[in-house]
Amino acid sequence: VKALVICLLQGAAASIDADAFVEFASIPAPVGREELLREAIAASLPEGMEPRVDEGGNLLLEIGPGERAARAVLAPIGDPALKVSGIDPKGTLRVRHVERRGAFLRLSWVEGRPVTVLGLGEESALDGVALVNSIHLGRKRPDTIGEAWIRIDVGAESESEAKARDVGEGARIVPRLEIARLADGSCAGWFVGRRACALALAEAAKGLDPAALPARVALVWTTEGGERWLRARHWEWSVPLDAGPVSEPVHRAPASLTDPVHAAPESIGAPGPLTLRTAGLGGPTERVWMTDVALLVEAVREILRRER
Amino acid sequence: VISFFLLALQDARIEETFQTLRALVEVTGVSTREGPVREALIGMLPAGTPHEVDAKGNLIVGLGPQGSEPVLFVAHMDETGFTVTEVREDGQLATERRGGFYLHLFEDCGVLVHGSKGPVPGITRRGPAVPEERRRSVLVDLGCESREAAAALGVAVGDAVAIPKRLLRLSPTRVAGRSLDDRVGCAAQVLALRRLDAAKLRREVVFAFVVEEETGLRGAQALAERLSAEGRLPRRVHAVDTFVSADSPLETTEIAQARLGEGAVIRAIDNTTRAPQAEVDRVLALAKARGIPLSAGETRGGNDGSKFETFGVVNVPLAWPLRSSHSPVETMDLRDLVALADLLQALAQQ
Repeated sequence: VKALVICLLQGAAASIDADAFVEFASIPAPVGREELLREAIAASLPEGMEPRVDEGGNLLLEIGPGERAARAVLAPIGDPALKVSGIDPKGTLRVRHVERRGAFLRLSWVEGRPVTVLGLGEESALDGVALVNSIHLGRKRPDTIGEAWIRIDVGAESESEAKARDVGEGARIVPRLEIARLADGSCAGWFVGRRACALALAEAAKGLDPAALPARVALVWTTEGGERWLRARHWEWSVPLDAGPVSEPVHRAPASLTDPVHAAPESIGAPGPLTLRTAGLGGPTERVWMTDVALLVEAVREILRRER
Repeated sequence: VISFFLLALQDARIEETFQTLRALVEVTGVSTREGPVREALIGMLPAGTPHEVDAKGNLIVGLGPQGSEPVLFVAHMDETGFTVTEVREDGQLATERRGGFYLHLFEDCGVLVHGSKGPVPGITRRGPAVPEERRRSVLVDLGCESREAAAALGVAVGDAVAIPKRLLRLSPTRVAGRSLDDRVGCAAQVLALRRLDAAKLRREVVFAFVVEEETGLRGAQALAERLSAEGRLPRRVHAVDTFVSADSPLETTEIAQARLGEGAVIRAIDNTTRAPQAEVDRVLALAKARGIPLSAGETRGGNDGSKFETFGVVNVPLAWPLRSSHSPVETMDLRDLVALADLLQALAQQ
């Protein structure tokens, strides 16, 4: 049955513009500073679809007949990140992990690579680099790369110069997002699995005719920690999208398994979570296939069009 | 008004320096595959500048009256990276490491394979779970499932593999990127060349842009042997290369003390060279007289000029401070490059 569903979905699949995905996946969106991504999602939606931002930073779009949304599909935004914990007298930044329930940013992946620093001001995004010791000078490296070893250079020569550039404690740091397009139609880079889910939800919205939906539905791009603001919404059910090391392009888990926001069993017709096939989740370079993302788009549309 | 004018002039020089360096950094020249860098350099030479490419691939630019106690400047065109050693049946590429670097910095990241049909994007696979010193190189995945599919993209054994390169501007004068070692040296020579009037030179001045420094100083070796055979060895050589600096919170302070942004550096002592003190003092005095910020220090690594020392040529390596050497984020200050270019110009005009 699963194979038949996939086959049917493939026949109807929307196509995903890989260039647009690369642009979308290159937008920095560290936990707590998701605004650039929210703006990009909102800007991509058709006229008449006006999402709003709730107290938790979630982006909500409700469409269809009725006053209250009865069902929802959720995609995560907000990437694992570091935050500035202090500034050295010579202007380099010290870091700490942003507290986070989900994925963890391994520091050995950040060392020696370019980063983006989102300063304390709303508009400030700076290029930076995570230092690495020079191989020629032969300093013994720590066995485990921890927070104490990571230093970020944003070109400041003093603490005051860094502060003048809007960098201070709490400013967010993410690896510079550079996405590679490979020959088989896949895209590879940091966090592309989660980003593909967020894009799929926006693409799904574009193909929906609100007047033809059987019920009012919510499409929600959720922030880390923002879920608690959604618990009071009393949806009949909600379906989370996420990336995972599954073998099918789009894996549909039983509804009774999990739904972090609004658990609902299959017995009331709730579809299960949808997982997008993503390779390389054990390292910094994840990989997703655009054909799979198109299938996810169709799967989301199918769920939202389902009769009650 | 005068200070405003001087500031504007300084800004213009920094901008010219940045643009020159960027154009050189954003081409790829993995050791033994330096062609694109050589082409870029030839395109940057002032119109009509005489130049030749020798059998080894070194680019040689000679100015001034020939045979008159020439002075030679040597920067290297190559960078560390990988080359393809096998296109496997499953479409993945086996590679060989070119030069010394921490392998983990280039594992599990995007790369470009420079094939016959242009750059092909790929990703490097993480190595096996064994200590880094036991991992030899990386596998590259292009998203091809067969040898034929990879070949259809123009990829073949011998192609260069490097990360996509961009010169990041961290501040008006601080920049970071891959292969600043030794594109900064190349840029310094180009900037000096642009400011020299060949007709006014009192001696022959040769700027060499050599190959294969990172894999054993082989371009410089070939050049030294050829000049010796032709009886054209210079009296002095200046390797123009990195001063690996300890100006970083991740380094110890025992050697390599040269701060970014405080000028050029004479690499008085390194793994291959101990420059004669009298020559070091002579260069320091010249810089002082010309108002060029310059210091002298000890660091690690070898330099191309050392290959001329065995022929009796005096070698005084000239450099600029570099942080995070041989990494994707080598970092330097453009003011140091300006100082280095000024120093080369002053030495050439002596």
